[in-house]
Amino acid sequence: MPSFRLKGRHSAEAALLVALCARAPMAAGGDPALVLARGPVKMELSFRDLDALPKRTIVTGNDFSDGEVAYRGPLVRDVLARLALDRSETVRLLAANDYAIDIPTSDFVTYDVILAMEADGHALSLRDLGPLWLMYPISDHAELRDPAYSSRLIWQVIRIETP
Amino acid sequence: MKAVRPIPRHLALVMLLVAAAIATIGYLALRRDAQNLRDTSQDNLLWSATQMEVELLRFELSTALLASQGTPEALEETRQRFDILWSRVLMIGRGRVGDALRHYDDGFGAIRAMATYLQELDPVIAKLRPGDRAKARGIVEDLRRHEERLRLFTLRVVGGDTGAVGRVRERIAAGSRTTALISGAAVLACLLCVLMILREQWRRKMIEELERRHAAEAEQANRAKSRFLTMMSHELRNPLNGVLGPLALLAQSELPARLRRLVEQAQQSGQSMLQMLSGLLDYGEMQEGRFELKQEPFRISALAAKIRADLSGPAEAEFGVGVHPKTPELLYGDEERLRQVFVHLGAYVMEACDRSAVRLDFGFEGSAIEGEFTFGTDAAAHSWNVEPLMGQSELAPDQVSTDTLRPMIARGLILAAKGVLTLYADDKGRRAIRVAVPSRRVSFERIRVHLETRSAALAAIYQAALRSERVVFVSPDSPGPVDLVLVDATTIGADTLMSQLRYRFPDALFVSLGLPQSPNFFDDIVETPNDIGTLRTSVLGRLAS
Repeated sequence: MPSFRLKGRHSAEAALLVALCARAPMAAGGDPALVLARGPVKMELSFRDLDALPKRTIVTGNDFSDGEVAYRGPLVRDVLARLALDRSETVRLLAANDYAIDIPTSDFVTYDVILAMEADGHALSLRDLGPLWLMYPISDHAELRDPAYSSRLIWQVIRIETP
Repeated sequence: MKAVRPIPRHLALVMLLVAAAIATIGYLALRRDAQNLRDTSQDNLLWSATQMEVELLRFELSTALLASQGTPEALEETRQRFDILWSRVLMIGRGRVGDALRHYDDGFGAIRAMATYLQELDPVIAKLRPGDRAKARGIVEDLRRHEERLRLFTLRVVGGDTGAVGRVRERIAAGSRTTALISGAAVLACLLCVLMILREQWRRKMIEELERRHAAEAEQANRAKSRFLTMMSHELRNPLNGVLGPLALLAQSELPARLRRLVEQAQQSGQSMLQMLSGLLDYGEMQEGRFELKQEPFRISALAAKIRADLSGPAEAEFGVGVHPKTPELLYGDEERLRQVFVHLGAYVMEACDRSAVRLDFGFEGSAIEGEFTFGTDAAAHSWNVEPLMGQSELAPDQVSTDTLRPMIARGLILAAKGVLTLYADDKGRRAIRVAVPSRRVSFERIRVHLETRSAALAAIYQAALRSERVVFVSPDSPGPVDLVLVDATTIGADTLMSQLRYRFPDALFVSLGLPQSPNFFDDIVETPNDIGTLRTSVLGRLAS
């Protein structure tokens, strides 16, 4: 299992909070990192499975981070392909905080959207909106600087399924 | 027709500036509206604030479950909810959304107090065991103290968000009013532009109509003038011919030398006037666009002789006209119009130069007849006005004067014949005028010759001497045209017979072998008929070239 740490922060206040709140890596135990579901068919992917997929780094800014951050993780289209979810027009992503959003799979073909596991070289923890954070290359495409795409930056992703 | 003033330039410029200003203001207003809409949709902080409250309640619920059940699963759920709540708190101050939320907490401290508490709670949660129910109950009690402050924080955010949305709404309303005003102004400006364009179109149409009417009137006047000119020329020629005829008869009678000179002078003036009238007739036809040139075979030597006769003054002042030996005798063209061209030019030249110093030589170069006037190097020749000759004064019709009439007619005829007039100085400093008019040789594959003589011996000699693959002697009764008629002038010379021959062979070249009694019946004369070589080269050579 990869270890998770809080990523670096820019403001002094945030830095203090991070320093105080840093704790041991989250124990994943035997729990899957991500569950893929297509109807009754389910597939559980561990961090090792996700780590084995080809990774892409995108450097981008968003409404929830200071400046541009280098996010790294597998491409969502590669993850979806594991259970042929990319054949569906839309997929639903669910977060640990019960947030859910439906996203058209064409987004993952048009853009190099990743499931970010690292930010600026540090693994994302649950407290850092990880361990999996859906990230669009917003800085590379002007059309992505839109609230519609901002709402798709779902963090703490635990499940992807067909709606 | 009432004159319509054109739209002033400064008015068009003002309209352009107004349009540009409207476009700029419209662009800025639209950009502001777009920004307002973006702000409205992105400033939704309420979701983030309420989520923090929700996560606190979830953590509180999971901790209460741990206090009641004391199971490892409940402890794991509590720890996870603790981390999720932490993630919410850590968002404060991060990015645009976090900055806005921290702004609401400044001077209130709910989030800061929550962060401090979570910081104290972190090691407690890490060491918590499933059986630590009392600790869990204590945590629940502590969390309830934060609930109220967090709720008040959420209300601050709601109030602020509502105010922000209201401000944005006001901006959008103001932007919409501005956009409506700009749209109205733009529509007004467009209507004004359309009106200006329609007015300009109408004005141009009026001008076009006026110009068309003027052009038609001018054309009609010009046609009337040309018609009058043509009619006058025609009417003048008839009485003039009535004068020239008796003069010709008078010239054939026995006259004293002094009277003969007077008659010749009268004949020459009459001929000159006739040419001028012919020129005016042609000029009128050119103006009316119905002028046509003939393309018929003619003899260059005959043309040269006629021009010589036209331009020669008294017997002692003959005008020099020559034909280059290599020039084909028979050429296609309009002999009469060519004669007019060179006579008009020659007459114009001789107004400024001594007659004896002027000379005209004909040649054939490429596919054009060339006639070249060369004249003196004296001061008069150099101060001579060439502008009428080159057509440089053509653009000012009111400046046409009597001295420009001849060059104008000549130039018009040259132009009609697709010819070129060139003025230049030769290497001796003599000025020259060269006229080149397109033409072509008259070629015969076989020359059909009729020999008219009463002498069988002479006939045998000529036939033997001239017969070749290209020369065929034909009898008068043979079918087909005759190209050349050779007449033994020593035995035949009666006018009646010559008239009959001319009538029978209208297109043939008539050559007199020996000096004829009536030279007017012949196109060429071989003075020494026994000189077969001269006959062959000078007549047959040109004819067959």
